[in-house]
Amino acid sequence: MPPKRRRSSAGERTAHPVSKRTRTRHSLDRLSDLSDELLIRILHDLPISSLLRCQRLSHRFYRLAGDAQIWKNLYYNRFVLPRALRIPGMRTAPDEALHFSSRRSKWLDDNTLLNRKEGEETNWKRQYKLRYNWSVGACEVQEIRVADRPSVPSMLVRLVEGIVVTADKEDGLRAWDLKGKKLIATCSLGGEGIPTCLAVDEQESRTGSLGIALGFMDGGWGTWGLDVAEKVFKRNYRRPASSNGILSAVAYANPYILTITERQLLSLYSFTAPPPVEEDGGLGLETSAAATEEPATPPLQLEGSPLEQPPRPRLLAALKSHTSWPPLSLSIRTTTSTIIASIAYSLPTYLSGYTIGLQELHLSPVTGLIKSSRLTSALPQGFSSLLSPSTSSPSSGTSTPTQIVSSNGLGGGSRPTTLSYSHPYILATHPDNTLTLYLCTSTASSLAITPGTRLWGHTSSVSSAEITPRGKAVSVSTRGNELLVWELEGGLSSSSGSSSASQSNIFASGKRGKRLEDRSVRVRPEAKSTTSLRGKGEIEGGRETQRERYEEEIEERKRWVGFDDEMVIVLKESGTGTQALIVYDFT
Amino acid sequence: MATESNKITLVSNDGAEVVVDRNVAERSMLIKNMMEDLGEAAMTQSVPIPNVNESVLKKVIEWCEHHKNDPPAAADDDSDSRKKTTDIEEWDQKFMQVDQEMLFEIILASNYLDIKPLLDVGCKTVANMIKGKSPEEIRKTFNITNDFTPEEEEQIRRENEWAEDR
Repeated sequence: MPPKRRRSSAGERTAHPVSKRTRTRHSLDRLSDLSDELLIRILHDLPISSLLRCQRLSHRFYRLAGDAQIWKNLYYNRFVLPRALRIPGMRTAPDEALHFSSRRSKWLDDNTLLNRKEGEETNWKRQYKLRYNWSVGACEVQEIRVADRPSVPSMLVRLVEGIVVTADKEDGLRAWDLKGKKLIATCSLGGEGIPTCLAVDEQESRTGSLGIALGFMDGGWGTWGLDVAEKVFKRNYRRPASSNGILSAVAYANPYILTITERQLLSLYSFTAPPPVEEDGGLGLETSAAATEEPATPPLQLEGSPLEQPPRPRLLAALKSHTSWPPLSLSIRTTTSTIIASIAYSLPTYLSGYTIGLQELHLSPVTGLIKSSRLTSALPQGFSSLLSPSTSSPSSGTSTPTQIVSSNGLGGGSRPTTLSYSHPYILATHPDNTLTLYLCTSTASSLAITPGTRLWGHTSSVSSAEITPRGKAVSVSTRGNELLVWELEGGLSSSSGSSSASQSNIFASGKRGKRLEDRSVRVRPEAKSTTSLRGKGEIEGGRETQRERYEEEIEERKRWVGFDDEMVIVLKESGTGTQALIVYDFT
Repeated sequence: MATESNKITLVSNDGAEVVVDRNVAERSMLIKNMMEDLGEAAMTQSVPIPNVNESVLKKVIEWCEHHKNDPPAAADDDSDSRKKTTDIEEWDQKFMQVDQEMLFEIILASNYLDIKPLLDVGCKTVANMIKGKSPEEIRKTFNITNDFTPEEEEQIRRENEWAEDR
């Protein structure tokens, strides 16, 4: 039984008849004679390494030193308080408001840990360890071989709640359990065509079922359901091929599906029953005046109302863009009053290169109709001073952290290779070893994107990056096996996994990018803990091994795939065509 | 302040009577509450302290005497207003230079008497005895019986490896 936690005030009576003991007592275990709560009080005063060593003393100490109250406190002090201090005004708040108290501390977005559902208790020690491992980049690496031959187009992979969903032509749709490192379900795509994009609906992941949407080469798409407990895929719906061309991206948040073709035709579907008055289409859709920045980008144009209405799903809107360029990123998020479908895309500007744009479609969850649409873009602010050469010419890396404007101009030069949007962050990767982070603010009345913030740290071209709403980003570079973890909310970022490591501070949220602190501190290159996390050809980071590393790169291409709170997976395609998922497990 | 009427008499479990200033004794929340409950009667009769013997009681009173002018402890025990460090002020450090038996008796007595700052000092002193030691050394220091099999202990060691090189 867990000890009584409450070290309450009035006369706590310890049950031990200590004062009655005889003179031989110095040979007794006086420490273990103390009550659980006194021992926990003592353990509270220990640093973590000592605390963990105490777990090895005896069964009783194992239990006490793993006590949730102790670890909750440690978690708070290490991971929550430093962030709370960064919130403007918090530092001047009454001192005690910030001190740990299970009742009234500010826990920021860690409330999910604090308020669990009935019967669930947070294992605070485990959570601490997880956060700690992320922050120092310690993880265990394992490989799951998924295919013996290369697939064209390459395999599609998504990671949700410890389940990896893969799709390719040969092997069909498959689901892997990362904990057990094994295949849990397969589903042939034999008659379906070649999958070109994949989306997983995370909304219902906690209930043990995943919604999966696949887009195909022929322009059709379909949805599947994965029952995790039953380990079966179920095909829910298949939309026939269309003449609009290859689908290049899809987003799925039941009951909505957002797709875009290679020719930039965007379609939004809903599985709900049509509203009584079928009069949707273009009327409700107009690009609002939110795009006030100059120069105005031509908005996506309305192409036409839906014609045919299969029983389900309904096409809610179709838009055609002439100005957005891949890469782009689709997402759907739901609030109580609105469903927001958004498209983040890269956007060429004159003279200052590429930037990113974002269009939002707001839909009513009741009628499913589009209420409004608005557009914004992160234009380089140097644009106004177009004629002054300083902003448009790519400066060498001398820009100081405060010169956000010029750093953006610098970034604009190269076209992003990938784009990842998870509200409120948009992260673009560039071939010049950097990433650009944009912060998007979307309120009822306005939509805006801050100028980009450059993130340095990679030593080779960044091939992919992704963000979670919790403010963590992972990026992987094409060679050198660099995997960097970025804490976007002003915390530290540190590298993990293999080879080099770096730390740099991104901006504090709420400061809207104005306080970029690029510390870019290189920490010791040895990844800590188990170095077995290195793959066979991965190098310790010495200069003389550069070439070797390069050859490795030719042989193995790594495509970043995804991550959740506990792990990162990377799809590796080796020269011989075998494909494997590399799992970086931070637990 | 310390007039004749402000003295109270405490009786230890081995029958010794200790006369002490009321404001010193009231560092103990237990005694303080008792005084409030008893009112005037408390000044005339002696107060039994059944869980504490004479030598420990005198030691505790010595501490209370030295700290009688400290500001009262924070009411919310749950908040971690105690300093996280194991720093102990110098006088308390000297005060705690006692054998283990006395140390644990002080902890138990301060817990029973509800003297939070003294309990903190005691707990920190024990924490300092644990800090930096290997499990074997800790067991030796406190005579703790290891009820793990070597395999079990090794498994826990591996489980906790992540924080070892801090």
